[in-house]
Amino acid sequence: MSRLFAVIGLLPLLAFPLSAAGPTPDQLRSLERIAVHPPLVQLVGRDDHRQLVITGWLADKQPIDLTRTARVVIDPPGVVEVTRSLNVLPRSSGQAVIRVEVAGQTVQARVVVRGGETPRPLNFTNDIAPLLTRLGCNSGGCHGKSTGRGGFRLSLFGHHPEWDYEWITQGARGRRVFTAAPAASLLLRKPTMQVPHGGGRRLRMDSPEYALLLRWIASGTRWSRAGEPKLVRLELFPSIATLSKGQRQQLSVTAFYSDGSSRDVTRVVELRSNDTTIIEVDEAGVARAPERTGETAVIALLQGQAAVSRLAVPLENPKAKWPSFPVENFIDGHVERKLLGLRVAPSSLCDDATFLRRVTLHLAGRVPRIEEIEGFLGDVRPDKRKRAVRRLLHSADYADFFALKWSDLLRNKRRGQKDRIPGTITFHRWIRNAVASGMPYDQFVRSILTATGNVSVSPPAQWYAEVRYLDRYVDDSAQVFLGLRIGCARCHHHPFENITQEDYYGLAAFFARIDRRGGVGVAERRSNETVFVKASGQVKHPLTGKVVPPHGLGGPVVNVPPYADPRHQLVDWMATPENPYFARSFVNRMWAHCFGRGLVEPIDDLRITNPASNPPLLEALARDFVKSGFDMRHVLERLTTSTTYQLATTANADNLDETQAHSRFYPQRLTAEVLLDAVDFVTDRKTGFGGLPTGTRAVQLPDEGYSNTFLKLFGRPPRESACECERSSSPSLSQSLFVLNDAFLLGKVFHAEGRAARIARAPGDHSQRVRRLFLLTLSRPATEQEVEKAIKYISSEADAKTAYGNLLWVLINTKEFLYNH
Amino acid sequence: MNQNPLGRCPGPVDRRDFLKIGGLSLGALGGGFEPNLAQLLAAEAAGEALRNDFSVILFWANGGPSHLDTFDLKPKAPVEYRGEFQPIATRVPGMDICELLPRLATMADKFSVVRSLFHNRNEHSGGTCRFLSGYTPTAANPADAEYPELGSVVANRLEEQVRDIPLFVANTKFYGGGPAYLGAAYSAFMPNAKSVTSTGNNSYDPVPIFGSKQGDLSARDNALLALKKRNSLLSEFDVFRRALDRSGSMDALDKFRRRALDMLVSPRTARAFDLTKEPKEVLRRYGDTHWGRSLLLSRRLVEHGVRFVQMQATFRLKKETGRTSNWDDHSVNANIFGAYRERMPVFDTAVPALIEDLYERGLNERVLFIFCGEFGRTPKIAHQDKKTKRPGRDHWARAMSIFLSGGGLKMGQVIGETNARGEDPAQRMMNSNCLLSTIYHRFGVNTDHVFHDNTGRPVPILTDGEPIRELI
Repeated sequence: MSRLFAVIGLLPLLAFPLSAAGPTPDQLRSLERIAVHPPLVQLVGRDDHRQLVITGWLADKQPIDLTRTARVVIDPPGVVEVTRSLNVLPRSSGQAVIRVEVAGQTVQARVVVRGGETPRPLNFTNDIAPLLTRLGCNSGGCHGKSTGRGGFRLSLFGHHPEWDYEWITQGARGRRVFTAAPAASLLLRKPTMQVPHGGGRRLRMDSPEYALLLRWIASGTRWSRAGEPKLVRLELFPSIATLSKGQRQQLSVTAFYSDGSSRDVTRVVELRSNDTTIIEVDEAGVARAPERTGETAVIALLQGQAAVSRLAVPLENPKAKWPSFPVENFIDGHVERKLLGLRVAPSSLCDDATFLRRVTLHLAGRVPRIEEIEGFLGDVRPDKRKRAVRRLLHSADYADFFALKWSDLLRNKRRGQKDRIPGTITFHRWIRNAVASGMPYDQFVRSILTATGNVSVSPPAQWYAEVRYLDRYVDDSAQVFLGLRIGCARCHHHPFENITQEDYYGLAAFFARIDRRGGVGVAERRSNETVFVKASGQVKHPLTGKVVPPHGLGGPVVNVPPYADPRHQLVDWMATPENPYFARSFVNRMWAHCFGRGLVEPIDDLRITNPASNPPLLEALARDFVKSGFDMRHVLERLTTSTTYQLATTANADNLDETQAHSRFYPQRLTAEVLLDAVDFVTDRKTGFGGLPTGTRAVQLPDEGYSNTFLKLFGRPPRESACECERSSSPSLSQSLFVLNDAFLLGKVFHAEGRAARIARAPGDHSQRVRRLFLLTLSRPATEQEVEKAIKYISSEADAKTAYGNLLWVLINTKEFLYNH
Repeated sequence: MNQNPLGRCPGPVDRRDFLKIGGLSLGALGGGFEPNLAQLLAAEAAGEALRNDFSVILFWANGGPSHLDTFDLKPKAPVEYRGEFQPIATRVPGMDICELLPRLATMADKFSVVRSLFHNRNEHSGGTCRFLSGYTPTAANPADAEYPELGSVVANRLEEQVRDIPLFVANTKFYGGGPAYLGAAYSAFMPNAKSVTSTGNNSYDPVPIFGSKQGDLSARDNALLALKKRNSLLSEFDVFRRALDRSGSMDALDKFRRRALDMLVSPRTARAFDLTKEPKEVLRRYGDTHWGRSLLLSRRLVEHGVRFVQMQATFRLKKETGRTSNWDDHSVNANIFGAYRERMPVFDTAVPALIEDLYERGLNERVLFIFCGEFGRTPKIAHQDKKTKRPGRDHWARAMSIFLSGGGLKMGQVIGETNARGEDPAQRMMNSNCLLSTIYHRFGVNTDHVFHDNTGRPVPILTDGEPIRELI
């Protein structure tokens, strides 16, 4: 904790210990060749610069960053200067060659300097606006807030430079910039704290950023010339790299402009690491692996463009032995490659009992029954795990469980209205039938997104009736079916993805003709409304006021004649095999279902700046899903029959801290409905749900309206959003109090006709009865030690009923019961 | 320590620092621990000076109390506006309140009234969500809040301070309240979750928070023994290696289980809920009524460390006066003046007793008592009920009065003023978020702190509203 306070306030640059390790003499001896990036350096203007990156290849074919080890000679001297960190600065116009030498290996870069004597003319959009982003001025908590801060407003993350320009140069009666006395400009005095600034010191007077701002003001606060080049692409070099602990990697970001020119923007962009425990990156673009093994992405953001570099930090001294890791399908190949790269050995395979419990929970949403366990353990066929998967995938429980999942996401909601129950039940039955009958996923989505009529003739129309509003149609369908959190782009450019407001309203335009009528009840909670398509309907861009035609993200613009329903073209665009979101989002969702964490996490946040932990695997799964004809069962079968899925939870010498490459199985907490059903099953007491037949299980509930304290406390989602994150599986104090002290659970456990009481009355010795209780609750045979301990406890208790009741309560409260492991 | 977290925008925090700050504030609850970009935005609001001794008692007139018949009387308004009650003078010159509150009038130096708050939602649950979260919900009449209510935010921000008693306790869930995207872990702890009402099964009737048999925090002697036994047995059999779960979930499970056990076995916690520990005389002073008992219990709870107590001020009217037990005195529901004649004497016993206690025990510096509802009521009296034509008032979010006592705030003042008919604020017009801002300010909660809703959108605790300067 003391480290926290020590680090706060230091510039990130200084947070790196100066003793950071370069290459070892051994590594340098095995150096085979080196390369320089970029091989051609073009500099324009006196204040331009270019960061070089020197990569070396060692005998083991591993690339290594040698930027800070290299020696350079400039020929002829005087054209450029090269700093120790290999930043190339122009000194005069002309051409030169930079010769780079590392441990006897050489390579050279060519340099062309134009206008090396005079500063390059600045323009607001390309030079000044990015600075405001990098310094944090226009973030949501500061001046980027919609109401501004301290009377000064900037567009959020600088996506509207034309507004910013006006507010800076015309706002505050012109006091923000003084071209006559540039240093007296508020724009400079505030962030340097020469006058009090609520946001603190953001800028040092001796920094290049200060100099740049000063020059821009002094030269007359220019906006831009007509035909000024526009940023079209960002590139982050290297796009993939491996670092050992403590090692550095120089990154370099290049901006490409519409006129074909390019510039080094490493010190202009925002550079961020998605996981700073694995990779840190400083303002000069130097990445470093501070402590943890793993892999993460560094992202660069500039004016709505983004670029990503994936950096891996392998384990230094692997201790664990590589176990047998049979490749069952392509999943295992990808996972194995990832683990080999990280040098983290996977755990060994889990035992049969664990596998059966795990897969029964994931595919059927319940714990296995005693007969199933005994049958499975006694089965000697080598493919019995595959058989179990197939059996479960074709069971009624599978349909129930996945109908629940989709009912959550599709917000099948009663909202306290009795009149709505027939509708929610109908929609739930429709979903369940679709799942059970193996309806292809694209067809499933099409049926929902193109629904019309009322719920009695067209059950998926319930989705339209519940989601209700144009913006929510866009947000929900993007989040559920494309894995995109697109709501940001309703009001401003998406901060971390190249999604514009135009894109958002292009999607909205597909829904512009949807309307509802009829039905009964109060405003938000009407039942049995009819969803219909109007003859016409369009949306307008909120800023330009222009009509936005329907189009998917990067998809073709759709021309919609009167009376046509454009939603079919929306699904056409979604379900094309090339769509980068549709299939990936589904397989990622299923991956998270089975593995406890998505390849992309959060699972509905697919964007270039949030890459998958294993991109080729995600890609392969998506392709396989498309090839199967969007067969939902097929994906689950692939996942659960992979070796990766069958790994044990237990850790080997190296992989306890590994949390995303799937070197072992990560435990998952049972969700509310599954847990309640499991409790009912092991206590043999049924929970009643008003209006449904006795014996209805919690996973079978059609809507959110069956009030039950247990379900509520254990995180059943209220279906207020399209996010799986709404289903909370985190423990809470109320849960613990409820389990310890409420009559609900205690009543089930100690019921006179319940499981414990019956076992207590049953004949046979304690050993037999205890073994049965363990098999029933933990889905595995008890160990001898456990049996012994249990018998010892039972004999200490005067009353067998109390003894077995307590034992059952204890087993229900073990982590082994509460988690899927 | 920065006692004024407002008006400062700390800007983005270094990523490395953020992770540590996140680690500290989230503790084992962090769950998915890799920060993503959205989370990084949250770091912008790091650095607050949370108080560990401040509590709020929110006495909630669900349905909406009439400002014109309580703390903002307009005797000079036309007869169809002013109602049946006369103002009376209080100890504080110029601060007149309703004649039904003579006892309060003698202690006006110990409370303040804000008369000029407004917001923009005129229906009960939407208004409650708007008023207690600071955000206007999208849906009309949402049963649950779309944005987290005040108490849930406090429970979230103070999470690391929880000891052996819940931070946030309520007698019932508010219609339109709830933790929204913060999740069930931050909903109020309700000892009597089953909502058995004090008078039977009418779901509108008052729900007693005290003396309930089940779900209660006090386990009885035998039960306590069994509980302890089961728990020691559990530690013997619960051998799954906790370290195998790196998400923090298993750590949290054990932590909460220990804490829950502490709460159940700690005599302190059981005592907090046990009204029989109060002398009869004290209970008599509060009035042996639902409200009296509720407020007395509230005082006990904050004394024992609860940080946010929410008591819904339900009240069963006589049949001939009205058919409801909330404050929604439309003509169709009740004769509003008859209703106040019934309620206010009870109020004028319970509330003064609580205020006396707060001041006598020195709690007034660290406990803030607030009485209000989701909005005010229509200044013009209406008579829609066909059968009785009795007087009533409808929903009115354009103006409302807030009653405050203690909390280390400046007492004995009236802040703001409505126009001659009580329709709109005329002086010190304030968005109701100013009240939230004042409360967060007292807790030391930085209202710039950002939560993320279920679409990943960063939502600060408040986007507007400033602490009411006259009070601070």
